[in-house]
Order: sequence, then structure tokens, then C-alpha cells
Amino acid sequence: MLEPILAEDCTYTKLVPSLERVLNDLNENSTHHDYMVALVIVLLAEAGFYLSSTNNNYSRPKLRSLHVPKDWKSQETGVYEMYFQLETVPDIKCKLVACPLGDTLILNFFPLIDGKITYTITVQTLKYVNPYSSDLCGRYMKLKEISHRFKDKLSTPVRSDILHEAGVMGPSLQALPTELKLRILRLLDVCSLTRIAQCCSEFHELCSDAQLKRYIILERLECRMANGRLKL
Amino acid sequence: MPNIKLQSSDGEVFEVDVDIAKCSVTIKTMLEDLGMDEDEEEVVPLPNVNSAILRKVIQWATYHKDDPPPPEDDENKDKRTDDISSWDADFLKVDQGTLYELILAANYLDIKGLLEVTCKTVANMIKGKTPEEVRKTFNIKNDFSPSEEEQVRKENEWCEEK
Repeated sequence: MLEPILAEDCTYTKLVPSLERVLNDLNENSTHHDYMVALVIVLLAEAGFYLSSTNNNYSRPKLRSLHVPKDWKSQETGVYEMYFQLETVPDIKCKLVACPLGDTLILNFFPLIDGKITYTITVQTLKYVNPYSSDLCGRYMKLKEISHRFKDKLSTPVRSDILHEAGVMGPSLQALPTELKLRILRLLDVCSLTRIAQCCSEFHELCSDAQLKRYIILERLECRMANGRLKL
Repeated sequence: MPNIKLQSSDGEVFEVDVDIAKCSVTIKTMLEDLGMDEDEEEVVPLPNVNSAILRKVIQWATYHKDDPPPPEDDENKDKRTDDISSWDADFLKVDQGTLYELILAANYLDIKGLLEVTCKTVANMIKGKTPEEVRKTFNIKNDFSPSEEEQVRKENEWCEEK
């Protein structure tokens, strides 16, 4: 049995070490939203975001040494506010604002750059968190679902925006090296290719690559002839 | 089986069976070229792969360690994307960021099988989607002016079968 790697790999008997570490900072008075935001800290770390520190002796953040900051939540409003930064682009900060509304938690995440976009998801906390489970592993449910939702809707877009601003390559489809994008495009059928060509100028150009088009059209013709469906 | 140590970009060291590590052509070449002795306490640094991704890569390589070697590169080979095994499909149920990091790692480490299956997964995410759906799925910004967009739409119209 392999050790869980990401939070989404937690099982009923084993939590991922990073999440286990963060849960040490919670106590019996912690609410379901506390558990959700603690999970968010882990998910952000997995996506490369670490809590900003004003500390000058900046040490390399480690997935296994995460913590819940003491002042993460406003005592009056219950709103969570924290600043994060990407390890690779430490000078652009971004902010997480989590507003509890009954049992719902509204998560906002945005980079502190000009023309920023705020990315938002609304989470039914109790769908994923059961703070009363006696067993630590039983406190979270459907981790895969929330993890993918969170990363695809919040952390990945914010990361792309920051990397774009900083002019750094990063893990998104557009930021892959051209050679790898072409490799993926080569696997498409003609129709999908013409559709992705209509998305933006970059893909339009890549798809116009004559060799790529010829390659795909030939393959398509061969396939149609083989199936006796060729209509000209 | 002798083990070797691989070090991720964030400093974590993984001990891996040499045969499993060698499914990466990059590591295999490194071991051969540098004449790294297998029983030496040498650590192979992998500065382009972080620990979370390296862990996933090792997991994949361990599962596929007995696979036959991939066929030589053939430009005209089958381009099916629906032949992903159920284990791989399950393994690749990850968020998009992780998926692209796996693609980058597979490319850097030169692991053909992993690169192939990850690229197929992305291709399958593109297939059957309208341009607007593709933009939404991959966070692609539409940078066409309205007239350019219309022109691009027209030039690709021929493919939309009625």
C-alpha cells in the first residue's frame, strides 16, 4: 500500500502527512469551516502556494511543515483572510478570502496585480467536512471532488495569471512548451483541431502548422477510406 | 534488486529500484554516461521535478515496470486516444495543474509511456468541445477581435458537418 501523496489520496485509514500536520493546529472548538480552510491551505501548498511571510530569513517552504496562521480568522466577522505567494514568484502576492455564510463557505482567491480577476467558488462545507468524527481520517469526505474543483477553478487560474504576469512558464495547457502542445494537437481529429484553432490566436497559429494539418487530414482520409465512408 | 536515490527539486530523497528508475531514459543515460555505480551511495538530482510529482511518477513506473518496452517511434502509428487502461485512467484523475506537471516531468525524464498516456488524456479533454467550452476548460483567453473571430470561424466552417 503506497503512502497517500496528495490530500485527495487520503483514505479512511490514512491521512496525507501535510493535512495531518495542519490538523494539529486545530482543536475541539474548531468549526467545520476551520477544517475546510485548513484543507485549503494544504491544497494551495500542493499547487505551489505558500503562506506569505514577512520574515526575512525566508526558508524553503515544505509540504510537510505547513501550519494554520494564528490570525487567519477575524474574531468579529468570522471571515478568513490570508496572503499567499508562489514559491517560484515570491514577489507577487495573492489573497485568499473565505466568507462563511451559514453552512456555505465562499472562497475567493486573487493575485495582487493590475487588472486582476477574482476567482470564486461556493462550497457546501458539510458535504466535505464532518468535524465531529471521532476518527481524524473520517473528518473529510469526497476529497478528490473538492480538491479538483478547488484547483481547477481557483489555484490553477490564479497561478496561470501570476506566471503570465511574471513571464514564467507554468503548468497550464497554454504554458506547455510548443513541442508538447503540438504533440497533443497531433492526437486530435480534424474537427477538434479546427475548434481549438478558434479559441485564441496562439492555437490558431499552431493548428495552421501545415505539416500538422496534412498529417491529420491524411490520417482522417485513410480512416474514412478504410471504413468505406469517404464522400467527396 | 539494487536501489538508487533520486532527489526532487524540493530536496526530498526517494529510494527506488534501479530497474524502475531506468524506465526514465534520462536517468538511464545519466547512470550509464556518468558510470554511476549502482551500489554506490550516489544521489541523482532531478531539479525539474518536485516531490509530489516525483512520487506520482514513481508510482506510475512501479505499476508499469513489467510492461514490454515501447515500440520505436513511428510517425504513422495509430492515434487512438481511447485505449487508456483503467489503471492509468484512474491514476490520471488529477487536477489539470498536476496533469501538466506530469507531462512536463515525463518529457524531462523521457518516459515514453507516461508522456503518451498523459497527452492522450489532454487530447480527450479537448475532443468534442466547442471553442467556447475549450476556452472555459483550459482557461484560454479569447484574444481575437470580433472581426478576426468571425474570419477564423468562417475558415474552419467546412469541418462542421451538418
